[in-house]
Amino acid sequence: MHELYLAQELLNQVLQSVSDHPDAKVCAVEIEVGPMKQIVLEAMELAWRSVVEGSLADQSVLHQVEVPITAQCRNCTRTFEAAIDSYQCPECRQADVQIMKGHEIILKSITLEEIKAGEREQGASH
Amino acid sequence: MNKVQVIESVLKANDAVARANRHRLHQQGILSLNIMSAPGSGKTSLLEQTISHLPHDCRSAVLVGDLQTSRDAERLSRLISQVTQINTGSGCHLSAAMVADGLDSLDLTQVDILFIENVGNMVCPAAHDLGEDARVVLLSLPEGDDKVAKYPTLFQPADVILLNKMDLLEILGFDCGSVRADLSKINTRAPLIPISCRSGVGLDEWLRWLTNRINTSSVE
Ligand SMILES: Nc1nc2c(ncn2[C@@H]2O[C@H](COP(=O)(O)OP(=O)(O)OP(=O)(O)O)[C@@H](O)[C@H]2O)c(=O)[nH]1
Ligand SMILES: [Mg+2]
Ligand SMILES: [Zn+2]
Repeated sequence: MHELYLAQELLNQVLQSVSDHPDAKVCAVEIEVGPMKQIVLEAMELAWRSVVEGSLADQSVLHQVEVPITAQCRNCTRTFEAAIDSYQCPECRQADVQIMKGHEIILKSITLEEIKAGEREQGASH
Repeated sequence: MNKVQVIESVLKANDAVARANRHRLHQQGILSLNIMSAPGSGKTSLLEQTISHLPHDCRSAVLVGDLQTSRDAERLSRLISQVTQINTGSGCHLSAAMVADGLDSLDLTQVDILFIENVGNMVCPAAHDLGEDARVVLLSLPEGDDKVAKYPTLFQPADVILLNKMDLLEILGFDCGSVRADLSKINTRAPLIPISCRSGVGLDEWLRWLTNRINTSSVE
């Protein structure tokens, strides 16, 4: 549901990160997706397609890598892999955890390609 | 080809504003609660009941988020003066920046407790930190006893869970045991308090939780 908003935030961040590479365009963006953000990967892909249009990241490929949820039990401090629908500690059976990983979307890398002179002119003509 | 390594949270902008909100509220000694649920679970009703039962020396303010209308703010401003409606337009949740703007509209020197009523939605609000101290999640009986399992990301970070509209228990045949069973896997930390904003049942226990929270935060 909030994919469009996230795609926009992501694009802002990508453009900011590459602002010191004026002669390059973005051809790929890699993100790590925590399951707790409840992103629908297909919807995120569509949202990305629509927000990048006309920007330096137009035509860029979005690589989404899902990571598991890592939780730490507040009761017995055990760290374990939780599931989206279960945060029960395998040690003490409590479900009182601190989420260590899996509740974030992290921008990992941006792949840039130099804009060739001809391409830039072409781009400027329309 | 040139690969730039970044490693930054995509909600960095929101998180930074949320941290600033939290800091600003703490500086003023204000406890803040983010109230979340599906549309119509009774968030505004809960605030109406809570505000009228709080001790007089506990001054409250409300920021209330809705896609459209200022109806909730109108309801609440019958009880207190510091109420601001935030219209999110097409946005399905409040963001930290909207809350920051909302805070500008309030006189924070006259507030002890801030209630933030989020947009009615069980998915998106849970993903956005606003800078609150605690998360209050409501589930009302007409929504069905399977909702904890269906929306785990809303219930997992909750600090207290209110089961509202208990006056309808018999008509609906709602199974509280099934909610407890689901919570045993998702959140055993938050107390589950059955309430009814209509009959008033359970509100004393909720107010005890709240007063306790106010007292512990002022000690910190
Ligand atoms: N029977 C019954 N009805 C209730 C109770 N609490 C709230 N309601 C009714 O439920 C409806 C929705 O209540 P609101 O308080 O407006 O719910 P809300 O969560 O603020 O709704 P949104 O802001 O639109 O998401 C209203 O008609 C209330 O009168 C309750 O305990 N029992
Ligand atoms: Mg409301
Ligand atoms: Zn444990």
